[in-house]
Amino acid sequence: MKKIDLFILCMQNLFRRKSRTILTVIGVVIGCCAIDIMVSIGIGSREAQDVMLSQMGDLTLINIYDYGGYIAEDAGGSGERAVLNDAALDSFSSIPGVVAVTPKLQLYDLPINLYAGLGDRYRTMWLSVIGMSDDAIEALGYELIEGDYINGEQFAVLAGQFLAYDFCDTKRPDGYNMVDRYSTATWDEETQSYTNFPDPYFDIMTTPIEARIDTGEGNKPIKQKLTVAGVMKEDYSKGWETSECLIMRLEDLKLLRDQYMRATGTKNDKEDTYEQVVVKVDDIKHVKEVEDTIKEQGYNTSSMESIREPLEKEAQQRQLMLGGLGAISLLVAAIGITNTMIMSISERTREIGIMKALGCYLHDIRTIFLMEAGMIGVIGGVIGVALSYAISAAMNLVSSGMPITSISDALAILGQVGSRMSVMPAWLALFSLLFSLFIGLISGYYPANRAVKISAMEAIKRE
Amino acid sequence: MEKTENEKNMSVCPMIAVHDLRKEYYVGDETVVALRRLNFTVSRGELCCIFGTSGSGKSTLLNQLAGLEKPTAGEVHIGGVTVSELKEEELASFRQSHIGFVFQSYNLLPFMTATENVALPLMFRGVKKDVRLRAARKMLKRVGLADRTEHYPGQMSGGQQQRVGIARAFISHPDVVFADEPTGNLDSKTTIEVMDMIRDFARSYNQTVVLVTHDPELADYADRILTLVDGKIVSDTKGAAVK
Repeated sequence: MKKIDLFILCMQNLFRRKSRTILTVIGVVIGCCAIDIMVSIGIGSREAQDVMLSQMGDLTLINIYDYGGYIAEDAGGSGERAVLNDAALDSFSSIPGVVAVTPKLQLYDLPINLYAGLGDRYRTMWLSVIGMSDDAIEALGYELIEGDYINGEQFAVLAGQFLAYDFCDTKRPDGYNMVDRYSTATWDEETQSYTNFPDPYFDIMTTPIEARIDTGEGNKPIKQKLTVAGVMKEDYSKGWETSECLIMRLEDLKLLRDQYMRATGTKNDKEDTYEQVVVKVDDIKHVKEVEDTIKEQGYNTSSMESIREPLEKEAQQRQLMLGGLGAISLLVAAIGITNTMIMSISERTREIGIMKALGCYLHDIRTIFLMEAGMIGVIGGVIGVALSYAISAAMNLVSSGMPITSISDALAILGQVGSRMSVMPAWLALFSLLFSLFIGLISGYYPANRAVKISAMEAIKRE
Repeated sequence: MEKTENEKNMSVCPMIAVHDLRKEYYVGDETVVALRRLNFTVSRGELCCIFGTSGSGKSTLLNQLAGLEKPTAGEVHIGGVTVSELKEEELASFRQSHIGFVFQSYNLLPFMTATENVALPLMFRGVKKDVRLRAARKMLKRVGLADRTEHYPGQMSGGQQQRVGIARAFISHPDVVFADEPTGNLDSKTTIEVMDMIRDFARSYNQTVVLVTHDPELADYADRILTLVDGKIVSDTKGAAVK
């Protein structure tokens, strides 16, 4: 038989027993909805969890600290202290999945301050400078609100969002010589952050700035002109340096340090070591692998992974349980399909006999019944998925507790990642569709084989 | 032109050949013998009537001949093919091209129109829809139902339904048509119409018809009458229709 004829025959048969078909389909719809909604709630809570974690810190960053770890001898190490030096940086960047590696070099004993304005009117009282690999800054995800990244330019720097407020006006008396950035700031509920900051004394992007390093009584300070390439957006998940620090290229900072040492007569013949190195991994999935590799080399690491992993495991278990509950209802639906098909076959025994007597192939008879069962599954699946989307949206709108006056309100709520109760990704819809089809075919298998076994003699039987 | 092996067999051998056919049924511990060592042949174009009372074994014989059931012993050949040895799928394709059926209770599919019912054997063979429906309408016209093509079985009288059944049996020009009490549910006037129709179809294409009945009247249409009593052929006579 032609496929189209098989299909038409199958649809004709389903339509002949409308109410029974509809009831069986409803069973599948309920099962499909149960799976979709249960799993979507699981995904929703996982999404909320991930958003919460990412607010706590970037999930793909691994921090490595030099607290004095040792390479264990049984791990093939020398038993010596694992040092965070340039060789270590190279070894980190060769780990698969690592996209950027940078030290965060901070020199606590370097007395550095910034000066700006006519006659050095403005100066910082206290300043943190951090040296980082230029090419890693962007990869690490530091966002800018103004300007551009350093892009290899010597003594170009990035300023923290509020660095400009750290300058004091030397022409004003103490207590009145700084701009309080919270004086006019207002809390914005929507973005969960402050806005409307007052203007600082000067625009840090356009005003020439000079760094000065004090080299002690009687000595001339080291002076170095800086260009502010960009202003970073404050983001504590990246690090506190985005707020009030100055970031410059690692080699520039080392250059200043060397000048300072020459000027003060201290000698530095030691190899550079770092207190902190940051590694950026391409995907959250690889964080654990990369972190383990680094740990094996004897370093102390920390990442959000150690918090995320147990949470993730718990979420997975919860999702499996929810999905299992849904699957049970689809299993009940599957029994419904089998029941419907067996009934339908016993009613159609004679018909099947006639078809066989007229030369219908066994495989065509099997196909007709498998197709009918599969069709019940697919129709139920399609309706189930559509209904699940509706239920999911309704749940999100109701659970948000926000007033909805227009469609755009509703869309805004549905699009809010992290606060949604139920999230239905496309793969879930596709999966439940295929699963419904699969359930249909499985439950049609036994009835179809029964149909095939019906003898052509049924056609001859007298009533 | 060279004839294929099969075609040679068809022309040389009788259309239907039955050798030592035996069929037993098991009822509990008892063995009931329905057919005992039957031997006969039916030639091409012959309208053969198998006559017997109920319980004579005539239906059992029909089942064996059409390959609906496997015999306990012996063989059935149709057109040189040993039907009793064919597997299920082979039987299906054999029926598609060589066998037609006319049933007592018409056995039309209730959810299909007359045309679709007639086209059913062609659909099983995988013939395209427009081609098979055109053929079916032509057949319906020949059985005088040109105005009933889109009617469903439930909207037709018994005689009309049986005519649809006949159109279905002959649509694929089978070698043999088995008719099982084709007039059992019809009145005498319609019986004559239906039997004339079966005979005319068979004659025009030189097809073999095996007619199973308990009605002696139908024997008038047959070329040959086999009478069955207790699973044995007790008489083999020429029928009234022999020219």
